[in-house]
Amino acid sequence: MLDLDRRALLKMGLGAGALAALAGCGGGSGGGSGGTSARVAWYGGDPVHTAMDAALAAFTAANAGVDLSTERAPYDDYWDKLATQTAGGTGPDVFRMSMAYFTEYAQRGALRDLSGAAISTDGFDEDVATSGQLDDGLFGIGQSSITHAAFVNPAPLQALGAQAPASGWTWDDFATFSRDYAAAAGSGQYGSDDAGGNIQIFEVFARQHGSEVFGPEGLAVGQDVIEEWFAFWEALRRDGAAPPPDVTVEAAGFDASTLATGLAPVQFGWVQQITFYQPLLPDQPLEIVAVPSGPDGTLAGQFVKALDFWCVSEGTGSPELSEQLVDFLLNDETAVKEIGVTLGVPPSSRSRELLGADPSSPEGKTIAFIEEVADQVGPSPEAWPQGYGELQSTFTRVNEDIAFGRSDPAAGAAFMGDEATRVLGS
Amino acid sequence: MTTAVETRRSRGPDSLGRRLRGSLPAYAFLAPWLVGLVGLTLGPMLLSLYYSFSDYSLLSPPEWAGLANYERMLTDPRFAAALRVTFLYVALSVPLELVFALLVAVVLNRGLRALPLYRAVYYLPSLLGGSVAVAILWRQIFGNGGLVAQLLSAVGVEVPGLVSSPDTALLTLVVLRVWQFGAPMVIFLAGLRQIPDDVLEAAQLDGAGVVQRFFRVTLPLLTPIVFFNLVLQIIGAFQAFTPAFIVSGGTGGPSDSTLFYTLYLYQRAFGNFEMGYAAAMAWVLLLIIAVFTALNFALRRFWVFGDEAPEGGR
Repeated sequence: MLDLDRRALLKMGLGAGALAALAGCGGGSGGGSGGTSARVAWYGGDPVHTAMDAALAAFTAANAGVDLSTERAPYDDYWDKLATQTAGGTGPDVFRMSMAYFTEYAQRGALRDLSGAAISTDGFDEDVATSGQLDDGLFGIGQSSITHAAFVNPAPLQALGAQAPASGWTWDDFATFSRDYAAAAGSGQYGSDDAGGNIQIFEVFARQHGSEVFGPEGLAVGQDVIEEWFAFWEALRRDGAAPPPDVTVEAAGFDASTLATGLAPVQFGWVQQITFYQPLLPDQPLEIVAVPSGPDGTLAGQFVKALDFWCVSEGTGSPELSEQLVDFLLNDETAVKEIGVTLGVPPSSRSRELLGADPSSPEGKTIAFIEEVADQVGPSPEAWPQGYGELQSTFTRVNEDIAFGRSDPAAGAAFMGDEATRVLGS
Repeated sequence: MTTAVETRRSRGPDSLGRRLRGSLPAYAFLAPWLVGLVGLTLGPMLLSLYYSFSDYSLLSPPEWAGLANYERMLTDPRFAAALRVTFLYVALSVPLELVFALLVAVVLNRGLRALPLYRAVYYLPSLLGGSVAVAILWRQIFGNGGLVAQLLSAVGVEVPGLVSSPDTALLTLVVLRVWQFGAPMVIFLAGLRQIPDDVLEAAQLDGAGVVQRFFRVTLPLLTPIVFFNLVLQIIGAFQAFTPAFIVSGGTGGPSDSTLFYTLYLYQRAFGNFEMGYAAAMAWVLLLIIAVFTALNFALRRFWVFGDEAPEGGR
């Protein structure tokens, strides 16, 4: 009979309890493996996986008796897994690390200090060679040089006889461009994606206003600058020059972006992402221009930096092999060629020449853009602070709240300030 | 029934040792389950209780923090948002789902020839609900320029993306849950099968119409099943995670309008490395669910058939 008794209730209670158990799982044992084997983990899409497999195969071929195993995941899933593994002491020996989590892991003692390691950074772009440096050690080696970029699809612009933007354009130019394009192209067409919620593009804007986003004391940028930024995008959305929030919400990810779906000819991002966008628009070659400048028209707001690292786990059982592998991935000719620009632009001019990419290919354009802007950009900021990941999504949410009319630029900027104090203060 | 057997055997003056020896084989057979219970459920639960009183980042060892995590919930605006969203979701989706499941079960119970086929077909969405394909499907149906928007546009109503507007996003998740009515439907069907024909016939002979027979005979006799489904669905709805996770891409957006309790818990735990806070949230949710379940049991005497009249029906 389907009647209920205390036992059934208990069972249901346990079902509910399993949820409470979720937050308590973890544990496990073991550390790194012996001296001749290592686990390598990275995030990325299919091109990254193919490239990494080939590079690691070359390493195994050159080093007899070495046993490598690999783990791969898309960016978002990667962090859940890495955090759990690290907590249980079963983290991979060599792994890809993003600037968004770098400080978090380094300060919690999960990363090995590579200061004395036999990893060559000769000929690396200077900012890249030192990107992994924190106060108490060198906790990662930058694996690529990247910078902010605006990707432009010239095809729809030509169709309307509109002028394509060029590096050195200002935010005013950008606003005029967006309004004109949206007006000419008709309803449902916008100048660009809504970058109002993108704290990384805001970083450029903040630097143009004379301040980094974060400083040693927490938030360094003024609330008035944050408010100005949110208000700038709110005005564009109101005029139909930037997409409304429900369009933006559905445009998450490369495939669904307004650039890929043909809703906007300009997309903000990191320079190597052109190699992800271009395959989605096979018949419309994309161009790279700089993020709009401040009134002075310089690129000082941007910077060239390593935002992805190779790190070695503090608890690795094969430190020498791990360091040797990192060196191989960064400097070996075969590895450099196999990896190409899938992880970003290789961090030395020697590697870039080695690739010999066709200048009209997305890879070639990426490399050319980095080399073009390298001596025009401003100095690199410090490593992003612990808690960056949370503030990054808060920034997106605040912009969304403003766009949906649930907040306004002033209140949003104030909230951002409070959240930064809470997150960075703790 | 087992209880009857147990009472008979334990009658009489058994010594403790003999009783233990007698139950040893039972415990031996229980051992695998016990190991699982202690190692996989009770152990982690106790650990999680400890973590809930600590500052635990997952990367470094937990530090005792007293009630800090619980106090923080009182002032956390996103925690309040998550509670609001979750209660709204439970309040809307559970009744709708149960009514819909009962309706379909009643229709299927009218002696369709291919009943097993229909039963399987209607059960199918329950299996698909958590899949990534549904996230894509939902965008196609409720998104900007999606199916619903096109249909409404044809009759002159212009709507934004329903799944991507904070006012309507949660409603699309409610629809998703109602669409997964298969599990309660199957249970309702089984319950309908148990309602004796003679009672219904008697009612019919007394002149009761279809509607009267349903509301005066079928539904009252079915209340134990309704109760069972209600308890299960409320617990399930409070714990809902996957729909919001896949449809909102893990953000709980737009504007936190689909930030389910469990999704926020997950974000805190694995997005921000706040395991202590997440563990505390898990325990508060357990408490909420326990209170609702206890309430359900306390209230059943007022409406569930067989509880107020033990002789009834069966």
